[in-house]
Amino acid sequence: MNIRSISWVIVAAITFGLGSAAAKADEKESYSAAIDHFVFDFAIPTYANFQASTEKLDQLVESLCATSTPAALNSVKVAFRNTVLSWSVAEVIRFGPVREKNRIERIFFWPDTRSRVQKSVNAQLGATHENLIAPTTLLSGRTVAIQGLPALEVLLFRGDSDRLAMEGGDATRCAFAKAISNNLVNISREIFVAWHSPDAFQETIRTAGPDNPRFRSDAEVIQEILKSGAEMTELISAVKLRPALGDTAKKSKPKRAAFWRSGLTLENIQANISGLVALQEKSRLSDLLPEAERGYARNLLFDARQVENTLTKLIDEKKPWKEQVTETNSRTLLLYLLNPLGGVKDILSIYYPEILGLQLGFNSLDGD
Amino acid sequence: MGLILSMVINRRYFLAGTAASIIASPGMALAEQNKSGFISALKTADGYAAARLDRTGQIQAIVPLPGRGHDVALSPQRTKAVIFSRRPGNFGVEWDLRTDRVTAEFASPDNRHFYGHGFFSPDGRLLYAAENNFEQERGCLGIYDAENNYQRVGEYECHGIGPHQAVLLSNQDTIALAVGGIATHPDFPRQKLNIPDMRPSLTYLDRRTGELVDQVFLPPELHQLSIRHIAEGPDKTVWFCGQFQGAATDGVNIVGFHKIGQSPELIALPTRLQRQTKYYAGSIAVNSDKSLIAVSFPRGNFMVIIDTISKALVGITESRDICGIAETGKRFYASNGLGQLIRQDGVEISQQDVLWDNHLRSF
Repeated sequence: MNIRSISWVIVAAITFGLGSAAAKADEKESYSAAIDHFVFDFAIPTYANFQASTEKLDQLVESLCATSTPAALNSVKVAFRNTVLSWSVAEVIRFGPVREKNRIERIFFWPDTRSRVQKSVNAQLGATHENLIAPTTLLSGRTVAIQGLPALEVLLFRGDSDRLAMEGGDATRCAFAKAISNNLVNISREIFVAWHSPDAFQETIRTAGPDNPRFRSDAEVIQEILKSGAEMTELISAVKLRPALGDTAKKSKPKRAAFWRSGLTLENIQANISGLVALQEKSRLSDLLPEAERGYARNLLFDARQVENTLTKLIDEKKPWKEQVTETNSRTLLLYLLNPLGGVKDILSIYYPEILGLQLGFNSLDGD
Repeated sequence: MGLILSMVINRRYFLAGTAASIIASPGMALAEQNKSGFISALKTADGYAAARLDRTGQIQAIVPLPGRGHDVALSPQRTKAVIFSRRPGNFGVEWDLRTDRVTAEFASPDNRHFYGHGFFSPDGRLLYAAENNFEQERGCLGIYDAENNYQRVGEYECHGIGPHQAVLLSNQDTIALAVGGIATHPDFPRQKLNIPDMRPSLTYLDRRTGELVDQVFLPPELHQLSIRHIAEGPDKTVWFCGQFQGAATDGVNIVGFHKIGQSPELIALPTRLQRQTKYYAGSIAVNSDKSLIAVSFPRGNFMVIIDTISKALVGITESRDICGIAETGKRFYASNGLGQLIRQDGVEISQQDVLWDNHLRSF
C-alpha cells in the first residue's frame, strides 16, 4: 500500500493543548511523583502478583495432568480463583502493554455475546488427532477465545469438568488446560517485563515530552491513569452488572456476567474495586489535589467501601448467582451497587480531571 | 410552538413531552425561506438536542432529542434534515427546515440500531441509514420511505461489521460505506467485542440493487484502524479517516484516500502531528470544488486541511475538542465541545452555552 509523506505548504506555528499548557513547575513535580508511584507501587507489584498467580496455576495444572485426582482438580480451581483475583486488580490498568498484541482479549475475552469461547472449546475438544492441542502448543496465534481465563473456566467448571479428575485423566482436556495456563504465564510475563524494564513501557510513561511517541506531557499520563480508573467503574456498572440484572428480575440474564460458571462474578468485581482503591492510594493521587479538595479522594474511599461491603454481604449469602439476580433482597443489593459505583466514576472522570484541569473534551471521549 | 407530530410512534421510545416540541428564537419567522447555515447535534445541561445555526453561528432553532444525536442527513432540496441517534440509539427525527417543525419521528427495528449516519436518495424519496444487525453481528443499510413516515422498506447487506458513515457518491448510483469493523451489542453498550479480529473496509454498493461494487481492506498491520468517516473528493476518490484501536505507537497513518478498482493510499502526517492526532480522527469534509479536505482530531485539538490534488498539508486549525466540520463554499467551519463555531483560520465566530457534538452540516 502506498503511503504519501505529506509536504508543507503553509507552516503554522503550533502549540498544543496539554503539552504546551506550561504546567507549573510544582505541578510537574507532583505529576511526575504520582506517575512514579503508579509505576513502582501499583502497576509493577500488581503485574508481579498476576504473573506469580499464573505460574502457580500452571504448575498445578501440570500436576493435575500428571496425577488426575479430585484433590488435584480442586487445587487447580483454587489457583484459578487466585489468578482471576490477581487479574481483576490488574484489570484496572486499561492502557499500556496489556493493550498491545491483543493481550487484554487473550487473557480475558469477555463479553462474549456469541458464545465463541464455549464453541471454540467444544470444537477443540472434538478436534481430530492432528489438530489436538498439546501441553506445549503455543496458543498465541490461535483465536483469542481459547487463550485465556474464560476458556480455562469452561474446562474447569463446566458440567463435564470432572473428567479432569478421573483416574487416568482426560489427556485431551488436560493438555488444552495446560496450553492455556502456559499461555497465561507467557502473557503475564510479557506485561510484567514491559513495565519492569527501564527501557520498555516504563520509559515511555516516565519520560513524557514532545519526542515521546505516546505522551506529550506528564499531565497526559495522569489523564490516562484517571481515564483508566473511570473506564473500569463504567465497565463494572454498564457491562458486568446491568446486562446480567436486566430491567427487571424476569428480564435478568445471569449468564451475561463474567465468571458466572466459576461463581467468581462478585469476587471479580470486588477485586476490581480493590484495584481502583489501590490505584488512587498507591499512586498518591490525592497529593495532586489542593488541600481543600482532598475530600474527593476520601469520598472515593467511602464509595468504594460501600461497594466492597455490599459485595461482601452478597458473597456471604453463598447463594448461586442465578438466584441472586432474581431474588428480591439480593437483587436490591446488586442494584444498590450502581449508586456508589457512580460516585467512584464521577470522582475519577469529573472531579479529579476538573480540579487538575485535565478534562477530556465531549468529542474526545470514546466516540464515533 | 409545541407542535405535536402526526406520525407513527415507535416502540422503544418516543419523544417525550418537551422533546416533541420546537424551541425557536422569538423573532424567528416560521415560514422563513432561503435559510442557510448549519445543523449540529448538541448537549446542554438540560439534555440532548439538535440546533440550526445561521451563518454567524447564532442558534435559530433547537429540537430536543430523546438521546444523544450524531449526524444529519439533508434532503436533496435541502428543505428537510434527518437527525440520527448516536449508536446504539435507534431514533431518527425529521426536521422541516422551512418551518422549523419536527415532521416525523421513526426508529430502527428492535433487532437493529443506528450508527448515526445516513443519506437521502437523489429524489429524496428514500432514506438510507447505517445500522447494526447486532444479533447476527453484521452491518446493514436500512432503507426507509421518506414519504411514508419513514416506514422501513428494506435493507442492504454491508459485507462487514460496523458500517459507520455512508455517503452517496456524485454519480448518484454508488454508495460508499466506511465499515469500521468493530462489533458491538446493545446489551453491552459501546463495549468493543472483536478488537483482535476486526476487519474494517471501504465498501461500495450499487444504490439501486445493493450489489457489492467494490470492497477494499487495509493491510493486515492496520486491521485495527477502524475506518469511520468518508467524503468524496475529486476524480471519484473517496477520502477516509479512522480511529486506531491498537496500541498507540508511531507510524499509524489514519487518513487516506481510495478510488474504486485501486488500492487505498494513506497520508503520512509529519511525525509530531501524527502523534498529536492520538490516532483518532473525528470527522472529515470536502469543500465545494473538492480541492481541499479537512479532517479533525478532537483528542489532539486540531484540524488539518489537505490539498486533494497535491496531497500537501495546507493548513492547521487549533481548537480544543474540535470535531464537527462543514464546508461553506471553498472554506471550512468547525465546531467543538466547548460550544464554539470556528472558521478554518481559527477565528471564533460564536460561542454558545452548549457542547457541539461530533458532526456539523452546512445547508
